[in-house]
Amino acid sequence: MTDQFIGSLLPLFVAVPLLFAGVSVILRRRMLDRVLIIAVPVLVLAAAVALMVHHRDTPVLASAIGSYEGGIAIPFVSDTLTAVMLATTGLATAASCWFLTASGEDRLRFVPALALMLMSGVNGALLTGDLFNLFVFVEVMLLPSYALIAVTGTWRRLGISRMFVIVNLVTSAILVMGVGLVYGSAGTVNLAALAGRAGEDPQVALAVTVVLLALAIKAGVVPVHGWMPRAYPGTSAGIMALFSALHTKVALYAIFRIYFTAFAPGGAAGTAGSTVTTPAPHGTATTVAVVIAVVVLATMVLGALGSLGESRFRGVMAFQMIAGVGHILIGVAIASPAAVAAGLFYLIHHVVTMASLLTTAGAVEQTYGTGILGRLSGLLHRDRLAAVVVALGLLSLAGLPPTSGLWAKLGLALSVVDPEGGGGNPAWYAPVFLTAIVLASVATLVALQRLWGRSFAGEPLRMYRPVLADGSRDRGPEEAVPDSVRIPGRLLAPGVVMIGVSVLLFVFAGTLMPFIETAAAGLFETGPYVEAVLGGGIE
Amino acid sequence: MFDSTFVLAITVGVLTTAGVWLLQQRDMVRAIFGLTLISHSANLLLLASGVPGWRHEPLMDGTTAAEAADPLPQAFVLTAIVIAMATTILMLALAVIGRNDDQESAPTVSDNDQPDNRPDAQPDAQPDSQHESQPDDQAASLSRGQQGVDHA
Repeated sequence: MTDQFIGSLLPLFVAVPLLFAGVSVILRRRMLDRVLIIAVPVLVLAAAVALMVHHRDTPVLASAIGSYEGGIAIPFVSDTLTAVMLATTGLATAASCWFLTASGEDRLRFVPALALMLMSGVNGALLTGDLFNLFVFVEVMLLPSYALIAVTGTWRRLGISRMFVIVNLVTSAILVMGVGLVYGSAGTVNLAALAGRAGEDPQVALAVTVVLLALAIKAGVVPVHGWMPRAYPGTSAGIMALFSALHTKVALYAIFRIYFTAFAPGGAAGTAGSTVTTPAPHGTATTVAVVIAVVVLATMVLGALGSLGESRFRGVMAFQMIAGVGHILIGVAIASPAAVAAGLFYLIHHVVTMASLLTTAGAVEQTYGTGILGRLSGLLHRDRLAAVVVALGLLSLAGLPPTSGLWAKLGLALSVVDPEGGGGNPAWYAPVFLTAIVLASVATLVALQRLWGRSFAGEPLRMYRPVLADGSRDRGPEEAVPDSVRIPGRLLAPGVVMIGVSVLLFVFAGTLMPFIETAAAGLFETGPYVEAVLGGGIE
Repeated sequence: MFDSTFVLAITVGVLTTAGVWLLQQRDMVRAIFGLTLISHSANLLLLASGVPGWRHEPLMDGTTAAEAADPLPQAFVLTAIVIAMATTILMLALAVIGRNDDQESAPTVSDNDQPDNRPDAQPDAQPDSQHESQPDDQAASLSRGQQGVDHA
């Protein structure tokens, strides 16, 4: 029963970060905090990679907390997709926390403990197999986030912190209402017991759609994205890197998991061994699929176009995050195994690239006192390493070699035009999605060129706003920049490592792909998932 | 027709409407009241999802399974209430810190750009006359102020 034993270890992903958060609060040693804030995410990363390898033999691990029967228990479930997500978020958290220690933000009150609590909530949300428990873990994620924004922010940033709190609370209310509607219509909130139910019953389909709407707001999908490009650049760079790697990606994971489990779409693409019989989709499911397609198209194009109009480095990045969300959700819109695999690869690529670019943007802001594009210029002549990192990061976002972006975009484009995939999709999907990908790429390219031209290229930098000498983190007035001022290596290091990971993803994409394909296939064959959670008995 | 489900549905609707209306207000305390109403309506919705009418309390020895209410939505509501309480306290804390109730001007670009942790910093040191708003012009000031983030 070794699998059962490993399954019973799954709650440790939640418990260990939470435990060390407590340790950090009680002991309050700077060195200990520094070690914990980096070591715990690395530990999670290592455990997640071990889990990924283990899932090659055992597709799904489930642990019923308290040993209740399947169907009654609140399960923790892990399959390849969960493990991949745990590894990705663990890696990005480690990089962001590393940046927090380099920029000195970890010295602010309780920041290490809050970051670890956030991580604990993220891991719980990724592992839980129960919709209500998902809501609880999302709240566990959000509470430290509110505090993180408030602690690292300024008095003037309070308005942004308030907006973040209010938007997320309204979203949580929608989420919990959706969960209530799911319970009312389906009689269960256990994801495994919900498998295929939304595809059969329009009532359940509508209820699940409410849950998906709440998750879409959290992810920043276009008609409900407005809060994100306002809130995220208003936080500090390290916190924005942390949030962009965790909040949006957890919401995206939940959209993938819930949509594919509950609706069981893509019956034509379904593979042998699937225990969920897919009847002809009813009208509501078809409508939901079309709405998702339209929304995804809008997210891709408008996100990319929006980044054209931003005047700050991290503002551009925030809109690029929205464009990235659109690309990742192509997997949901097309609903073929190839598209889901491409979407997941894009997700990993996007997390890695964003972590690199955001921490580097933070390093620039920390050194020169501004992230406004009009006030930066010619950094290329001063900071060669930062220029290389940002250049590679921008290439990666645009989808050019030698970075992970190439395979990510290529995979999406190929999966969109693949005639085998997503057999039930309307005929207009392939040309329209391809056009949208191209449009978004062009807009992204223009926006990133503009970003590059206004920050790294151009006239050498003349003015900057140094940190005051009084030991506070305040900035003085603008003054001429001395030749000796350079971005310190310790601030750049996380960005360098993450862009290195992106290049590694470009070179070794073949090693990672089998895992991602297994993860994608797991979303379509819900049989093993259901059986592991419910023990094959109930339902 | 006026059975308990109907009353519950109407109550959920009224609470949500009132909550959304309060959320449109600029000051934080009203927004908090609005969110509280919305979370109440969510709780009622959760309760309604399990119990269409009045049932007996779900205690093992007190009632038979046929008469007992569904305990799961009640557990949901209990959890949701606890979470709502924690977030309400946090928001009330956000409402009292700072120098004003965020009613007069929205952050401009420099506000987001420079770390400025001094409690005595002047949030309204250079109020741009275009972005300055009258208290009775709250909704408009929100949109103008947000544009100000870009164009200031």
